[in-house]
Amino acid sequence: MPSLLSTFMKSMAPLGWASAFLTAAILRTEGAEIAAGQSGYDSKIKVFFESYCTKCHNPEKKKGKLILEDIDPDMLAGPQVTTWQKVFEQLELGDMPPEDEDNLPDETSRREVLAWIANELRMAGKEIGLGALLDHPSHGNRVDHDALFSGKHQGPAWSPTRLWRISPFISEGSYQRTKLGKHIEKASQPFGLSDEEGLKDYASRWQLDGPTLELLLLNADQLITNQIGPTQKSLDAMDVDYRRKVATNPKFDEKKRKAALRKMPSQNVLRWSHKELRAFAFRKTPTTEEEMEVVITAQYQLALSRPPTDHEMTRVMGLLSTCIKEGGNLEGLRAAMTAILLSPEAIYRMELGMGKKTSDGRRMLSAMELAFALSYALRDSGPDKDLMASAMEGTLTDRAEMAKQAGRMIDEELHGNYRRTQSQRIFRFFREYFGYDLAPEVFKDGSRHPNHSPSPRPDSLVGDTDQLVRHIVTEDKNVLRELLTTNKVFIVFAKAKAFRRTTPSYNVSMTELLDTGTGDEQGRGTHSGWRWLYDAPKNQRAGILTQPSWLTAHSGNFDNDPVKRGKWIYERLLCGVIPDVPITVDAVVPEDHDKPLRARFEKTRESYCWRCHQKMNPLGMAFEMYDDVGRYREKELLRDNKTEVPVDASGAIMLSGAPGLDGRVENAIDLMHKLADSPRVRQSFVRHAFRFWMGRNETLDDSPTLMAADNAFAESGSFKALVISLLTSDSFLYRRDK
Amino acid sequence: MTATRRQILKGLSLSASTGVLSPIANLLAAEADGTSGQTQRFVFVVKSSGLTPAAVVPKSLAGALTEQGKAIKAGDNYTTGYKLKVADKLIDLPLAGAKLSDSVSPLDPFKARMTILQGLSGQMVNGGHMSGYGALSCVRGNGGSNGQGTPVAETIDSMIARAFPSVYSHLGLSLVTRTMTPGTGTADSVCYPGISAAGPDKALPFQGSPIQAYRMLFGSVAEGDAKAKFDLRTRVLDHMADDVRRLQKKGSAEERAKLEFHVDAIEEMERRRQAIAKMGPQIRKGKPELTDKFSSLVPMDRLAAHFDIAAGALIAGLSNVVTIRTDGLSTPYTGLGIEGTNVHGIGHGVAPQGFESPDDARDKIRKLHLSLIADLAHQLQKVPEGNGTMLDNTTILYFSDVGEKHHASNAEWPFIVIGNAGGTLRTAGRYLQYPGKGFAGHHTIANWWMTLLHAIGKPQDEFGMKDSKLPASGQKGPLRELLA
Repeated sequence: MPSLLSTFMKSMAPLGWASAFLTAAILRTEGAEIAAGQSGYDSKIKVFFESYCTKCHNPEKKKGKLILEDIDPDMLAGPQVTTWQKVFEQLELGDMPPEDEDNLPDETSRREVLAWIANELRMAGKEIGLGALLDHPSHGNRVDHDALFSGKHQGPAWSPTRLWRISPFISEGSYQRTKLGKHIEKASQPFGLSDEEGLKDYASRWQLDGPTLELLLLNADQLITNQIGPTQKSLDAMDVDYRRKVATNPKFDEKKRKAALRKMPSQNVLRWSHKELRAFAFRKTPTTEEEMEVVITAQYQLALSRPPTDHEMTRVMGLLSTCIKEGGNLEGLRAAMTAILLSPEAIYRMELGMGKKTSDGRRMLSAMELAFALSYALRDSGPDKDLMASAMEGTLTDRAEMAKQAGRMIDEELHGNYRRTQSQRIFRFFREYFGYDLAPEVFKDGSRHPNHSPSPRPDSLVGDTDQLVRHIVTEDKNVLRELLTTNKVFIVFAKAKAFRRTTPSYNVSMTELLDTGTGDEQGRGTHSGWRWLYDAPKNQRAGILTQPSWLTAHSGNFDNDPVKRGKWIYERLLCGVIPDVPITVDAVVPEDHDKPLRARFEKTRESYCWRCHQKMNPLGMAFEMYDDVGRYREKELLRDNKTEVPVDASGAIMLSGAPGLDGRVENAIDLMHKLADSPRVRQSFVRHAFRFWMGRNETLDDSPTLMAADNAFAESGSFKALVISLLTSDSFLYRRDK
Repeated sequence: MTATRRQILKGLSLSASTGVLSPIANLLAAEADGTSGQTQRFVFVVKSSGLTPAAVVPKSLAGALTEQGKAIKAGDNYTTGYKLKVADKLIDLPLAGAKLSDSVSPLDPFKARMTILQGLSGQMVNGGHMSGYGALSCVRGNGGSNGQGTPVAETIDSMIARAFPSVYSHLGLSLVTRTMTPGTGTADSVCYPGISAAGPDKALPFQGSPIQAYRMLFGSVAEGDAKAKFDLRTRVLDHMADDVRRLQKKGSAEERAKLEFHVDAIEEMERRRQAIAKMGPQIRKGKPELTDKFSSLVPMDRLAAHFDIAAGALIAGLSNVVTIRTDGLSTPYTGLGIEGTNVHGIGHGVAPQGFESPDDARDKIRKLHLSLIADLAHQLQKVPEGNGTMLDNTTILYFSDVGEKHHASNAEWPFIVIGNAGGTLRTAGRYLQYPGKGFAGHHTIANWWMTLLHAIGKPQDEFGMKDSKLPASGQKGPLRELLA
């Protein structure tokens, strides 16, 4: 089997790379060029500001505490770099100038000005926060939604050629699968991901840092020590000592003694050692080339699940023989084995595009690359036998075969033994997308949630939602609608009667739960107890966003957080963009003890705040029908802990950008049903699924992929169909250099 | 070439950087041309859940400086009501003759070289459970839960680390708790506790595992690596770098930049090994005794091990700036007899069994931290340096990543400082309390960080963001009262 790496080396002609990606990574701004620096500022930018901005942003009005008259255009050393970044953001989002102004710039001049600012910032190395972050998961929505689904953009779609650092999950999986983990006492996980809410594993985000390398080497050292095992002399000594102890143990009779001697400690120590490596390490005679080949091949198989190529064999053999000469068999072997364990292929997923070239300059993934890409898309492990066979036979590059393989794997993941660690990858999407699994991270005072902290209360709420998601995705019917509107809930309870307590989180008593609920086959007998499926009143629950786990994860330490909740909906369900909180804003909710939360948020109604808050607060306020740990309520207890007032859970969808969607809603239930009906919401979900499975944000070139996936999902309501559509798309299959 | 590559790297969204960890070349250059003066060492010990101002006031001054206000027995804003009186003018009292409070008493032997610093505020950053990177940078983080987010500015520990480069210029050691672990369930790895950063979007990594930190720092001398073995590792690293470079030659620009980072990490490691090899005897001198606590899973043991590692790294000259994250909100202190709750629970007014009040538990935790600091100081004091000891050139700071309490407003932000940065700080036996917010002469933690920068000869008179509710003038420059 050819190595991905070496085939790549052979197949690619050296290319002369400019630092072109830099400009591409900034912003795809089009338009005629404005001269760089001061002259461009004087001739165009200043005029633009005077026409559209300084009516409000002048020294007298100082709207938003911002003055755009005579702003210093020096972005290298000037004092107003942050202002420029802010201006760029507002202009790019289309938030400024305000839409209700009579005098608005045309698209071309807006683009020109944006391009100029972006260029100046880039030249000054101050693009952090702008272009650099466009690849960040939190900035995916900046690509215009309507344009993506307009049908005007025909691709062709591609992903950049890339080395995708393996995730901790893959690394953990490979430790377990190859029993490497058992070779190492308390193996440390070298790879980390972000713990911010949102999609985590983007290909461009992670690279190898120094401390990670140190950990990889430490792990490799321990692993190889265990592969080789101690010298025969120390093993013998160990056994002799053990025999003596057994012989002199007064508690042992003859029978026990015999039994104890059946298994010697040396056998135990050697359990994970590797026969060939061990023999090689302690050989007194010079080693032959054949013997070297054997150990090198064995280590390649272990680390990369494949034998080395001829070229690799030659290189490592060179290293091994030099090291043996300098340090003897044992140390020489250790050195060469380490090099194999840390080869780039063990650290990065290689997606270089080594398959067929298209006339437009894209390259398809080769069959082998595809096998790995598909497998990692659905599992935290490399290809299984079936998939590998398909790749070897060369059939995998056919889209029908891809779809078949992907479908088979999805079925296995969804319907197989769900406790298998591999099946976590698909469900991780729902955790990362909804963020309900962050419930335990929001600290709550005990009085807010009895037995909440440090008992595993919030963890079991997360488990409840996990189970609900699993139930819906496994059924695979109207998946998104179910996720957003179902009144079904899973509730954990202890198997043993003595410990049977239900949570008040779902407003249901133990008796009622057991009387009316039903068991779920997959939910039974989990170690944390049983989960019961229960139909909550339809006026109380509608989907994941009304689950106590999600509500807790999107709350404050003491109160509901309508801003957090509204922001989540605006960004995840409506693909909208909300700029970061301006640093001049001290976003603190007043502690008024005698007012309901809604009243305490009055401050955000000021026009400066409301510009952004109108996108969030009315959405979030609909969830006032729950408290901050997700219990349904009709009365709100004020912060004085005495007064109760009737709940007002009315809200609204505002500035959604979706035709006909804006308008008042009665409460969260009403809101969720309205949202579930909207194509915009479905498309937004599809965009996020795209990001998870492609490991990057979408561009306009991905429009055909997204539209096809959206169609597949809209027609069938099947999540499986959505994923298969994504995994057989051009965006997934083709690579091009940025 | 380097500049271009750096520029390219800037375009990547970096979660971590070896930037601050890559100064060995500078270090060697500085040594070569004899420009390195007396190295100063700094240890930042950063607890969670706030540092209670009234609790660090010496017992003998408590009557005059503290008062009993309104107590809230349980719930959201639990407080005993025992608090520091807001000062309307500077209070500057000698510690000599004063009796330290019980939890601070482990520092008694160092009373003559320490200052209890009170009255500073830090409301340019959000309070609450934690101020994240804001505590050490005075700049609010971007997004993220609980105010951590991504860093947007370099933190003070990183800035000082750049001034005193060493093999591991910034050594981060942390207890890994759930809030700090990225969903993998692995508690024993490199982690990002969200307090230190080398710059925008460049969180500094912390070693969460004492045993791995030990192996990383002292491994080579601990195993008495022979010359041959050392050279073999060099060969392996060369081979690895070569592997990466071969791949790099053919990759796209972005991949090349990513791999350059990889090659950098390998090269940096090799430089480090070379530097360490030359420091053999010195490292052996610093190497802590390896005990069970290094691989223990009990937080208290791990913390003690981290302090041993810090002492060892400083003595061995492997690092001059260490940041120790002592705990997180979900850290249990079962080893102290605190059962059934954790730092967060205590902060919310849960009194663990056997404790009269949650404050007793907080006292006990603080006392543990300060005993570990005292041990560290004792160890440094035993090592001669110049005309004195290593402790003379070491400054230890104890504070929280958030101001005055569990849910802090950051209106007060207390510090305990041991050491005087080689005589540049006037910290000899003082209780120094600045006037509270609203009074003339009030200052912020930004002033304090600038004081440190002045003390190490890297003066700057602006630091981080400003508290918009305070006059700008008071937020400029160092705290004159503390500069020698």
